[in-house]
Amino acid sequence: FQVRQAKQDTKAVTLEEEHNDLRVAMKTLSGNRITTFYEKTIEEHITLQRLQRKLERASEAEGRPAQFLNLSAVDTVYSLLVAGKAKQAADFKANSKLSDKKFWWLKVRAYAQTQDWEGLERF
Amino acid sequence: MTTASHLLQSPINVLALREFMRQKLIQTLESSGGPMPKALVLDESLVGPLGTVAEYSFLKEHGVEKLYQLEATLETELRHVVYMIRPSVTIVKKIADHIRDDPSKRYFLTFIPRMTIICEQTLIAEGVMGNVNIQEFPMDLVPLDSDLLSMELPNAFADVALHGDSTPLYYAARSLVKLQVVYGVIPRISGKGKNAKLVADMVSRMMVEEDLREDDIPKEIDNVIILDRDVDKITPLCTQLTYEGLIDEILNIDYGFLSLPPALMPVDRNTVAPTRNTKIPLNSGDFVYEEIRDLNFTQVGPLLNKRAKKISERYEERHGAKSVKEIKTFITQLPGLQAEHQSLRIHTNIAEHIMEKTSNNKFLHSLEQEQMFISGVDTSIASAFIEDCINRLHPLSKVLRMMCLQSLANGGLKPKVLDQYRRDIIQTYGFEHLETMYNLEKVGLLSVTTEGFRYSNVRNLLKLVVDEVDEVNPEDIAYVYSGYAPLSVRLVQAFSQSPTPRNGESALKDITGPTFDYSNTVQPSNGQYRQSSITVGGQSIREQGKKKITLVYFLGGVTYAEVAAIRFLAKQSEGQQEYIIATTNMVKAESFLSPLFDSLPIPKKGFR
Repeated sequence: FQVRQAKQDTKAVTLEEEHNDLRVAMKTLSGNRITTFYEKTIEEHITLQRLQRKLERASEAEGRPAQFLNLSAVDTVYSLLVAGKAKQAADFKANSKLSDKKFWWLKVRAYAQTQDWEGLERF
Repeated sequence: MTTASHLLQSPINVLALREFMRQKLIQTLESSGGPMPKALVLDESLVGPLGTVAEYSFLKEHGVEKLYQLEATLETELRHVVYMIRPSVTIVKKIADHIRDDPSKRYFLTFIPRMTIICEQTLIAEGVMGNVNIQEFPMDLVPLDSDLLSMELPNAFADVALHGDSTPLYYAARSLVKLQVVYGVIPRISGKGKNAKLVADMVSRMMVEEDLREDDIPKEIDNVIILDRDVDKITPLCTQLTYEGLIDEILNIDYGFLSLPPALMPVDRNTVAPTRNTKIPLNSGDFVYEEIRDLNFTQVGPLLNKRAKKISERYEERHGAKSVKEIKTFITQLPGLQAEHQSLRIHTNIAEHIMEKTSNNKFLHSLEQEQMFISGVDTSIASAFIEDCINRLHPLSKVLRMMCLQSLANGGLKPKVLDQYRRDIIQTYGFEHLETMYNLEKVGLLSVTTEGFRYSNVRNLLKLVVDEVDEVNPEDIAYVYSGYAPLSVRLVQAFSQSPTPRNGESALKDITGPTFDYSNTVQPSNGQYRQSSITVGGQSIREQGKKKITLVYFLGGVTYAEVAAIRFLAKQSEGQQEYIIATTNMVKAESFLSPLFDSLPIPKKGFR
């Protein structure tokens, strides 16, 4: 499984370098109907990591550095919601193509977690 | 450690097999430094299987002074150290450390079942090859019960289907040859599946090398049916509903033993509550268990109740005993009565514990969904149930099990549905599970709709789904999964009838993988009888020409519920047909799938 190879062998120090490795792995996969899913997922993973990196930068700028890299898309949105960053969460949701249904679930879970019962009721 | 009394009541003389291995074990121990007292170091995964063959006192008789489990360091004052290990590089490296710590001792390495080239190279690379004596101990099938033999190779299915490693197949073939050395040539070999065919071919080649003559040893087994797990991947994904199956699903059975948590151990005034898990043997030696193990779980409660009433009646008998003679008879019965009582109490506790779990809503909902998939309801669309599970962050293993079941029952998923599921999983559980998706696809548990295997055809042909199941007085094997008759066991039925009924024939055609059926051709004896070198303890109980004995060999694992179904077939035949079950390993949904789960290495900390 070439993706494992890419992840394991990588001596990449930066995100960019790792993404290059992943793209190489992706190329070996391409050209096959069965593997289109894997290519697409890798592409999305790269996008996701970029977005996460951006979020980390933003949180550093705010003076409250948070880690997002390598969380799943759902977990990222969830932690944003719990941190009360509804706007960022909504943006992230749109950019990472999470379904509306998933987003609702996440909101409910986040409201429950923060015990924001008013928010839950408004919802 | 175990005694072997439960092995006595067997269609074939399983004790002979155990004896065969004990002899080999003695040889191994004796050639490791003769009668000198030695330390025996076991790799953890071997403690169970070895325990089924030899108890501690037996090892002690043959010079084992102390028993250790393999750890990073070894502290022993004994000069002779015998290791019994699986061929694994990490294990060999640990041993190399031991040797460097104290090179003055004598070290003996026994590989089970054989040394691999990579282990040899590791020993050389670690520079300890000169310090060790190497042996091999071909332990393969160990008897878990009087009718159940297992090699206990935990990842057999994944090794073969995913990694393309045919070692388990080779071991299986060799164990089949060994069985024929002990029990005589098996005249008929049939089976289904690519790997089953491979094994059958290997067996016939090895038989030529073994130079077994047809009538050297009296034949005990009439035919063998080899089934490749690849042929029926559905059954191990279903929740087993027999008592034994549920114990395995919920509490886990290990080499025929249950490790019972202290909370479930019955306590009374005279005994102290245990603080650690107690090992309970689960086999036919315990006749309370023997009676309930293969029943549908719904029947276990009433039966235990009935037994409890009976036993208290028998205790009451002591008040009725008048003469000294009567009292004497009562007292002689007492130990048996007490053992039965204790076993009843244990199983009542276990059954209550299982009841708690099975009446839980989560359990019931999954079961309902499972049965819908199997009977072909809503299999072609994305299941709301599965989506819900993902959104509620249920364990990934459960979600994947359901997905695989749906995929198999529908003969593959529509590309759109499959992609939606996979995306959902990656988005929710993370990118690291991409490889798991790939693995499941590779072994055919998840797939897009293909023209090949049509589960729905097979389901109808073999009547896999039985609507009205009488769980009290079952008439069909479908009771073991409350309405689903395991495909694998239906195939056993089809093979056992001759000629194979027509619907069985066409079902076999619908399932991928070759079907084969041939008589085992071994050169007829040229008059020279070879003396069998095995000492057989006691004669087989089988009366010649009366019962037919069939060996069913599962490659890639068998579930306890399937075992129950096969035992049920024997019961139904009213003594005409007996079965012995052999397998690479015992499986359940969790242990079947987990070797296929592989998360990608994702660094815990992000890049900076």
